[in-house]
Amino acid sequence: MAVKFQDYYETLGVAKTASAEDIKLAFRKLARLYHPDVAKDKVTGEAKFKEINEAYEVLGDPEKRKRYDELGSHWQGDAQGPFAPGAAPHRRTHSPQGETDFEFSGTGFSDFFESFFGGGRDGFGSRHPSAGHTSDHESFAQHGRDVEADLLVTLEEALRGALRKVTLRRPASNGDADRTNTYQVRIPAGVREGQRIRLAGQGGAGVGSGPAGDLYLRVRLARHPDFSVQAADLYFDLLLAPWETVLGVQAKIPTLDGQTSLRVPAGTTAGSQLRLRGLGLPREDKTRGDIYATVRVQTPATVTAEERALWEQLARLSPFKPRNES
Amino acid sequence: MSTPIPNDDYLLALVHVIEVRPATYSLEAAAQLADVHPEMLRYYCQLGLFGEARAHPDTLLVFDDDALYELRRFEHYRRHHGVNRKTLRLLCGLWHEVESLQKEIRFLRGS
Repeated sequence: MAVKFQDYYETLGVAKTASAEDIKLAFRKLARLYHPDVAKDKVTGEAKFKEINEAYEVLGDPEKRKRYDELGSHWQGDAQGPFAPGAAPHRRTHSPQGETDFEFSGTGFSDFFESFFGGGRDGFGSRHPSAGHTSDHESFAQHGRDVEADLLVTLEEALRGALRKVTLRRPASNGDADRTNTYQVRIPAGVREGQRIRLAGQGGAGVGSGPAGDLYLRVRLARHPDFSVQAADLYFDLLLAPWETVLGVQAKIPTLDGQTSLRVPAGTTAGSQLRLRGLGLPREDKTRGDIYATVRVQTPATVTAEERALWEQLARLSPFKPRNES
Repeated sequence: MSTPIPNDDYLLALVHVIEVRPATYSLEAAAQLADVHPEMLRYYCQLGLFGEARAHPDTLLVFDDDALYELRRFEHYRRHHGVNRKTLRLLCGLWHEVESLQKEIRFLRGS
């Protein structure tokens, strides 16, 4: 099956020469627009959100972006060129031993991404037969290989749990017809980045009397327009005007449970972290992580004549010295 | 665990409804699933081959899906690539370090 080229620059609406910062800004803007929680059309919004996430997953990583750019310059369409059917690089579920190719859908990633940027960093369980066997009859009873696929999970799904439909297609082999299995996978609340969910016996078929391998779905947390994730804690950049940090302010900030209000005390310095306890992701002990709002001071790029006069007055009056100068 | 539900074209496609929950396994169950001797698994634990919080050596040995995956990976490299235990320990250390650095980079790059 031909792998369709995905134009990630077009998806994010940026030029090929865009800087990393431009790409991040474009992602955030689009992700806020199409996030499943806010999109007007949930179905279209969810699909678009996944596309944007996939594009940022590649373009937001300098190494992947470099590989992608090289790939794009050699791409000659669906049915031609070095990545045409037959010449296509193996999907990570392909075995060099000539075993069956597995194709997934519903994982949140396109075939293109799976083919060129999918996980399986060391190839275990995807390019080699699985470990198990019966020692006395190794050639006749070999454990089926394990199959692994990435599963895109939003932070909201990680918080509340979700039901996802994943389809696995095993192309014809040994005279058998194509076999397609659709799984309704319940993603438990509290899944963490990189966690594997095992579907016992759903991997490659065993040889002889050997048991089938397992199917592992590896959780990849979708990038969020507002939060970065570290374990169960969420980090949020709280943008404040200089006078808000000096005088204090009541700021509205987003959480996975809806908007909340945070009191920024007077005299808060740039880089300070304000904690909202228990509003992060679930932990193993059933408690929840926290949200850390990191204060980022923003200054106006242009000022009016009146504002400038006030800043000048402040500069004259204030004894504050941000650096040591002799 | 799974219930086949026939659909319109059930000869070619079977729908399995699978309820997936985070699973944990005893030492014996994990050893059986990975086709290793329980003593070998205990030895792997003593070598500290498993990553963070995947096996809990202080209490009763309990393994989750990630630990089982790693165990099968150890066995794969030991049996099919002739990797000895010392090298396996080195490899594991590197795998875990790469994993943790990737997480850190992902966090530092932010959204």
